[in-house]
Amino acid sequence: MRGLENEYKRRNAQPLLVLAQQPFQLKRPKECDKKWAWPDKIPTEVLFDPLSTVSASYGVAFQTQFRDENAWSSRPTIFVIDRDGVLRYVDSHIDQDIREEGIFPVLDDLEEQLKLITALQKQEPLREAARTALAPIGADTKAAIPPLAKALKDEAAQVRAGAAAALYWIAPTAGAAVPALGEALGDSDRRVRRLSGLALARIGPGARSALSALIEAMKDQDAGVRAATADALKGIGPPAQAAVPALSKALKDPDMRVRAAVANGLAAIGPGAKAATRALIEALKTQNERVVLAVAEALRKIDPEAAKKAGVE
Amino acid sequence: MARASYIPSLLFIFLVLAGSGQAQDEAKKRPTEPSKTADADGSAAARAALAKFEAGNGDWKVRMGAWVGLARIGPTAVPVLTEALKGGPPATRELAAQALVLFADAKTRPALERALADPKPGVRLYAIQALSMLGPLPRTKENERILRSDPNFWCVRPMMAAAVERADRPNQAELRKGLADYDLRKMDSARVGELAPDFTLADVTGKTYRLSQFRGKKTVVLRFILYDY
Repeated sequence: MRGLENEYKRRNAQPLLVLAQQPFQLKRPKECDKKWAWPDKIPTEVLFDPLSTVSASYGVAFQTQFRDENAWSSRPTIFVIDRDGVLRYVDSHIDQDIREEGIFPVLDDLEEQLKLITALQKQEPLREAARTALAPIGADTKAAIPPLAKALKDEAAQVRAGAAAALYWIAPTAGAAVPALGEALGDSDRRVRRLSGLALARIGPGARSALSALIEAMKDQDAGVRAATADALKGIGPPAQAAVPALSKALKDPDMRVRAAVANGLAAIGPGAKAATRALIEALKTQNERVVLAVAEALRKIDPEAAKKAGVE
Repeated sequence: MARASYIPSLLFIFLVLAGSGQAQDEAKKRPTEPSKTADADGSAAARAALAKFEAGNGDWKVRMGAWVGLARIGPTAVPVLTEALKGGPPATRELAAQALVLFADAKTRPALERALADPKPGVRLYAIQALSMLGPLPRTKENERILRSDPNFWCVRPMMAAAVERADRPNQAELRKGLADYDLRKMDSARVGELAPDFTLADVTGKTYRLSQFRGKKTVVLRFILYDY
């Protein structure tokens, strides 16, 4: 944790680690197994939530059994809350802790998005929409969607990227922008494509009408775009069946994040993705643990019998 | 719109309060033994809470709801919890042990000590924690056995290790109140794009951190990890 302190400081960020337990549980007598030991000095940013109330408010309480040993733990989850107190990012795993270092690129991306959206405020017609996108989602958020969707076709790449970032930030209400975001997946600017993919992923099942654009975007030259696209296909779920051939192919993607996202996408499509079974079994041989776990989960969801034959429990 | 939706619930609360006032007035007129009635009410409420938990199929919100509900019932729930700890189905025994962490006292000690031999690790785990609320666990032969050779390596043994060294003085009444006061409507209320739920939590030195204290100053990276049974 110490080594990361500067990384947080440089980004003006405060790490807080929440343990849903009583503080005494961290103390260990000398003779106990070293594997249980917490560092001698417990960092001050470790906070205790003995009643699990904060864990419950954040929706992570009592969801995982640590090493399947019958004790309830919070679901490993990381939240990023911006300087205005707005929740901007969530990443949640089922039974694996999240590597803390992975959050720094996320913080940098959020900072870049903040700059892009803030810059939109200089453009008179977009001032109000940008202001709305920076504020917490509320009753007036929807009014910002049409001008932002229109700005996705602006001449200036900087403006298009700002609009895509703004739509990503207010994505839970941005269903009306799906056609424009689908088109923007073919933009010449990498940032616009990536942010549009992220926005579609956050929109979830409502992104269905952009399905053909998403299938096309699985061929994008940028790995970030491909990963966001696979996430968006996962959000669509079973109706994304037409994407199965493209996803099967992408199980051989050179980028590990893309392969994991693709496996998750296939898992979400479920039994409708049977055509991917052979490619999934092949992908089980990959070296990366995260990818293997995702692939195994996909096999279980798609074809439990084939999963058993392939040695997936 | 959100504001309008509060009106019926406020009205409902008002009616319930008005109704309970009436019931209290009637209770005063009757020459019954009030403590016995309260015990019976507590037992009935605790039974209802456990039944609801059992019907909930392990959903985390149901578990949280049951835990909060039992804290709200208070010490009159203890006889039912002790009974459930002895003879309930495995998941119910586990919940009873977890709830008894907030209620452990000299009377519940024998049942909790018996639960240290429960086949379900979660029951043993919470029973150790409950007993530790009464002070550090003695290094008896049995407790040493659990510490060194309980089959549950990752949870039960470390809990016993911490329990024999426990040095703080937990305040059960305060913990119970904290849980009883939790508004269950706040469960799962964190949404991307919205204000993050505010909270105040303490670190190991007792220094408190409030999320909103970082507003306008810092980005907060809030992390929940495994190993926090």
